[in-house]
Amino acid sequence: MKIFLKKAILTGCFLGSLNAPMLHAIRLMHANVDASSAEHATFAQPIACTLFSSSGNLYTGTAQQGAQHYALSRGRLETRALHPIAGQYALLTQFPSIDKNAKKGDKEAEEKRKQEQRTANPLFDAAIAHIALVNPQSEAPVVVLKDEPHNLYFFDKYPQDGAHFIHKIESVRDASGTGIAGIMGLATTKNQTPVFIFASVKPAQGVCGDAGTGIAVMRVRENKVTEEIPDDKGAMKKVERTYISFAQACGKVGTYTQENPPIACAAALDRSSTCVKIGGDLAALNAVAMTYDTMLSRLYIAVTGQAGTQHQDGMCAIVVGQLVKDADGQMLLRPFAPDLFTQSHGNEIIGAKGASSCVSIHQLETLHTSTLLPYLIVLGGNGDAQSTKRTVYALPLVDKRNDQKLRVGFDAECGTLAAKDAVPRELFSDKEHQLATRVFEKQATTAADIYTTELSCSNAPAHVGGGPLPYGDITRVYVKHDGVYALVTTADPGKTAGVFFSQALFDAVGVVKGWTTWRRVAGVYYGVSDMFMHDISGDAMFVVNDGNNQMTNVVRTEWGTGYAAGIGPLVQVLNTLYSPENGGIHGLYTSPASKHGLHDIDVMIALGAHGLTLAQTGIGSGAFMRPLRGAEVINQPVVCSDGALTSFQPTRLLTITGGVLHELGPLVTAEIACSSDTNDGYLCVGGVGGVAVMRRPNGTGWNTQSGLGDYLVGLDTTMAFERLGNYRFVRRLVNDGAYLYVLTATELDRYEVTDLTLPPVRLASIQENPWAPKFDRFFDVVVSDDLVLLATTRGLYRTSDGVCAADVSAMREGAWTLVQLPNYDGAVLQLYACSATGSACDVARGPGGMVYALAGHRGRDYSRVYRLAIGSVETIGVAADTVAVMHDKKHESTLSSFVPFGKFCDHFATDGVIRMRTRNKDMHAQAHVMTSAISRLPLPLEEAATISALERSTASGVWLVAGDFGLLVNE
Amino acid sequence: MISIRNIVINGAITLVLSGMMHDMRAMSLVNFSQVYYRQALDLTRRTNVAVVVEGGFDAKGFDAHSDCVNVLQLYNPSQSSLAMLKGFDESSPQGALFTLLDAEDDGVRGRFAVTGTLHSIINGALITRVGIRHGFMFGVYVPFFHAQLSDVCWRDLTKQTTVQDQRVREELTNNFCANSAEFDENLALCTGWDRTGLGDITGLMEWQHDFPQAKPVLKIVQINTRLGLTLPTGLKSDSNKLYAFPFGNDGATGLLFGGCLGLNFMHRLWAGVDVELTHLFDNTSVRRIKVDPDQTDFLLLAKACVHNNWGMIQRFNLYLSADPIIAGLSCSFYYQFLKQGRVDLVVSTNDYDSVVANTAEYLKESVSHTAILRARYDFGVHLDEETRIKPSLSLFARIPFKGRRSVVWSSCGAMFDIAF
Repeated sequence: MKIFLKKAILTGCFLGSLNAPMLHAIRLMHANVDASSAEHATFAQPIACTLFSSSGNLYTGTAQQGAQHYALSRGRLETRALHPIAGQYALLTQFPSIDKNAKKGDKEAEEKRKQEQRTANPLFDAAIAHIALVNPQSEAPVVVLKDEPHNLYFFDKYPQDGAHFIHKIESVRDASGTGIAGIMGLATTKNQTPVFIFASVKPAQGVCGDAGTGIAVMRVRENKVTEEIPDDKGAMKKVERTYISFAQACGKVGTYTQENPPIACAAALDRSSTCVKIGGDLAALNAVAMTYDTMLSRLYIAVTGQAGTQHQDGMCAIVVGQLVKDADGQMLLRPFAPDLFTQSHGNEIIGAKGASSCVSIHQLETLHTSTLLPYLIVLGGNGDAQSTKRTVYALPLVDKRNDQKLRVGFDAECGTLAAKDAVPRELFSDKEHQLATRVFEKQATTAADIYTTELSCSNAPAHVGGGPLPYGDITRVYVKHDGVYALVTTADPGKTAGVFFSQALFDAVGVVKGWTTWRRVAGVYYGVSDMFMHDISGDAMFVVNDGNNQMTNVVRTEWGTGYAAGIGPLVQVLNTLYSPENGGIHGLYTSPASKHGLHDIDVMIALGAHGLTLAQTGIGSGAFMRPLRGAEVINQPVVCSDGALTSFQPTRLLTITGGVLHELGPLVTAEIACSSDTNDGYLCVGGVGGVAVMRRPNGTGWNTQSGLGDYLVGLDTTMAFERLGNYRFVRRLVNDGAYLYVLTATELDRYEVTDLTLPPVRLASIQENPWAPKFDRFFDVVVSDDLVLLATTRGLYRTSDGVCAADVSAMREGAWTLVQLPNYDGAVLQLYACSATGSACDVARGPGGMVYALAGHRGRDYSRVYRLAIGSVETIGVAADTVAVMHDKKHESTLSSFVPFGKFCDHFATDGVIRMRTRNKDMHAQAHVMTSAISRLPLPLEEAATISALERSTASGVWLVAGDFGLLVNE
Repeated sequence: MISIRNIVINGAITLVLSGMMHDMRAMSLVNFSQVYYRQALDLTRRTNVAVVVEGGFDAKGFDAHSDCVNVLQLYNPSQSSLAMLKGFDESSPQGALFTLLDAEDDGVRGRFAVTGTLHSIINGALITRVGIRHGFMFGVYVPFFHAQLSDVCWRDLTKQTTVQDQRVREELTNNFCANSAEFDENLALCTGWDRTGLGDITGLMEWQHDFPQAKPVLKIVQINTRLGLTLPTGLKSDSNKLYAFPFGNDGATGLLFGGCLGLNFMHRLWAGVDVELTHLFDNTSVRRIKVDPDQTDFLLLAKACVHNNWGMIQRFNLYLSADPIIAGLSCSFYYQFLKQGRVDLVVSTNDYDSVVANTAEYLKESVSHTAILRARYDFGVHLDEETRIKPSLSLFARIPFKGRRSVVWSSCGAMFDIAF
């Protein structure tokens, strides 16, 4: 083992020394900086704006001249390069004119004619201000140049001879129909037809918010014309050609006639607009952000502004735009919420009332949850622009329908703010009676109907991340499925920038009841301005800075052994230590610094056949936690044999083998158990041969007041692993409160951590017992306060109503209650808990959480995942509704599983964005990880037989896949 | 099935000892494949009675890739105890055990290398044949058979690397024989057997005629045609025992038809080709069937009533014979190709899937190639023409040399024939 470790460390250090600069080894996408260049950047010029399409294409625009044809670039996750699309030439007209007298086959003349049609591309070597995208069939960028902020360029979908047709709208008009000073933002109807482009414009005279400010609507149409062209024999033939027209519409709603024709102008949105002001005109109205929701067909417009100076003045910072049906671009602007704001409170999220009160919404995104409910994700809130850049809120949206499931008569309410106590209504398809969608119908009409900025349980559903992001100002919010990513470009002093993530937690009917607290993900440790997450491959793409606050780089994550400046060296060490011959890594345990027993460090424990490796993966507490990277982790490794720390020295990488651990065989589970009474912390491990606890001869562990700290301070040379009890086939160890729970295949025991020498209390057993259900075998357990969830061959059991974990006993009648899963009475194989804090032990605390229960039968080759909404038991204990099967439905009449898998799978893990499931090697395939019915993660698992763990590193947030191949990461 | 018959070919009796069919579909390829004996026969004699006895040795199997393997590995190189539990409901004992094992067959885990020795293979037959008129003959063949399987060994291949390995060992494979018997108390996978019984009795009508040729070398062209019926009198397979094959067509009635073209050169050398096809009529039986495609053929826990749609048995023989070498003595060499078509099962219950059941390896076609040497001495040359009884003795050896999904063995035997 020692030799292996030395070899592993050498390998890791070597890699580390090769890649001293932070970005050297990162998966850099390449554009106009040569890959072999020492510069290590994607672009030589800073990136001004970026846009990820829904299919994963990245469009970038450079901030300054010099990029030439790379001024506008496009790239994909798979290609690992960005390609220029701002060529030197563009075509003048959509179709070159046809010279009917031209001789057929005269290629020279033809080429000459084409050249004459070309003109200098205005985008070539330009600085780009804004990019948007329309993609009814293929993606077509819409661009605003920095030097021409009043013009709009639109790429035709069909390039010819390598040159794009570029349409141009010169002098976009403002709300008064005159020219503008500039375009402040863009949005489009995306893949919806008819295609419209929305531009927030500021008037030529004055500033943003003055009269003339508004939303310009540009329509994109496909027109068909019949032309005559010569055929092969020189005769003229008629052909139908499609060309695109691109023009600004009349955005103002009105009745137009021939005498009063519509003129191109923007829909007015200025300080005096009733959709944004309450009482008197706003004192200020600034930057405008927009997003269009294709499912609701609504344009959401966010503003930052200040109310008028009168006491009764106020503002609503979100406006809902609706294109009037068949009105060719006329747009109705309505307030997102009616005047329900209270004076002087200053805690309403999207509006305020009071003299000079400020509301600042910086960005909007819509979120359609996996429970089919719509939410508006808002970056900003009540306050000035500077103080609101760390808060992200989720607000429910109204989608009221009549009985025919149409919005007839309820159009005005669609997309507005729903009341926080709105109960969703389920809508089913007429023929198949399948669940089509869920809608909120109750509109927020009073102050009591809305969430506020106050951090309380009642407002938890609105506070994404559980509150403000503590790391720094959020540059951008990225929304995918049930997850919200907050991107930080510049962190607070002493903190590390990156990408932070929060997942929605649902109640039984699918309404968001809370959010997980912000946690770092994706192993990104530098400023990020935009990102795209591919939910099938698990890879992500980021626009990041170069360390000098210049956004010049585009990077991507990749499945593999990590990169040298990240977790790579640690992975190399572990993969050398835990070879496939010995089964590789049999279990993985990660724990954040917030875990009781850890003192400002994050740890990861890799469990092998007869030993384990304890690695410190992070340092610091709270927002100051910093992931350890590169050689930081593997410096000064220590190997202790005989299951004792005899040769222990302060280290960040401790490997313990032999002794009792050898007797335990393959180790599969670990836990850090702490006693609040004695302040002792213990490292407990379990395997085939039983449970062992690391402690001193006198029974004490490390002092949790000071340890386990940096360099594993707290451990000492007197500590050694000792057996605990007499177990076989341990499945899980859980520490919750004062207890250590030991789950084996045949029993569930509870120890008091304060004195582990005391005999355990047996909570459940497969022994025949007239008072207890017949279990057969146990698979998994989740313990949270009074709630114990037990996955068995006979289904899922919970502690019965009124029974608490401290009292529950197998000998007591009615201690366990079966949780009836819809249409299923077989075995539950795995429980995957999701709580606000990220700890499974908190799933029944605070706002509660969710548990994913993996069920299925290997013999019939199927699996399914059920979702359980877990209520809080902190105040009332376990009750009938504490564990509720979520209303996942396929058909009207019955509940169903959340995800039915066609094939059996061994493990399931999700963060609300990616749903990963593993299948070990069988007669037909090697071990693999799937994210959909047909998609496998691109992992190098050619020789793999077993996948033992799917975990997320608590320090860096990268996904970890462990098995007999060792460890693989997405970094 | 054992059927032995005498065929008159150019004044000779060809005794056909057909192979044996058994449940595991090594069928006739468990080499009682057909053997021809040619015996000089005085055509003036009307009746022949013969006894044939044959002893086999060196039994071996040929797998699907035609590789030579142990007889118990002809269908699968190893048997999967985990796959054995697949295809059953969660609530069934098999499904419950599979659930708690929580492990997958990865090609090694839960696998057994099964070996055994097939020996004491003795087969024989009583034959009587009566000549009628105009070249027509009718024969009855009553075969019997004995075989023994012993030294059965189930070697656990499961590693002890992962927790799944250890769980499978502890819960299943360490005491596999007892564990498997829990699902069916009659199941005896780990012990051998010793079985003796009748084969399928065959009745055969033949017609044969010689066409003399006035040519310098080719002297006679001989045509033989035959039509027969095999009756399901043979000992049937025992699905509770390991590879306990039937001594016949496993309860199926067969219709046999064939023909032979023989050429005589210079009155001393015979060469010919013989083709025989056997159609087995569908029947119904209770079989152990696959209920999951991953299952291996010896570890099938599900029993079901199935309709058997048998494949055709095809035998092709080429022969070369020197008759006589010296007075009364003749020698022959045969090459025999034997092919058994695949069997299709139709499960008679909705509990199981016929498509899955038909993925069993033992249902697929099997093939064997055999070389046969025979020497015959006709004692009639030492007797007067008027002597009523004329005996003859044949000694023969069969040497199988190639096959696919078949168990074969070498054998030596003798046939004593009396012509009246």
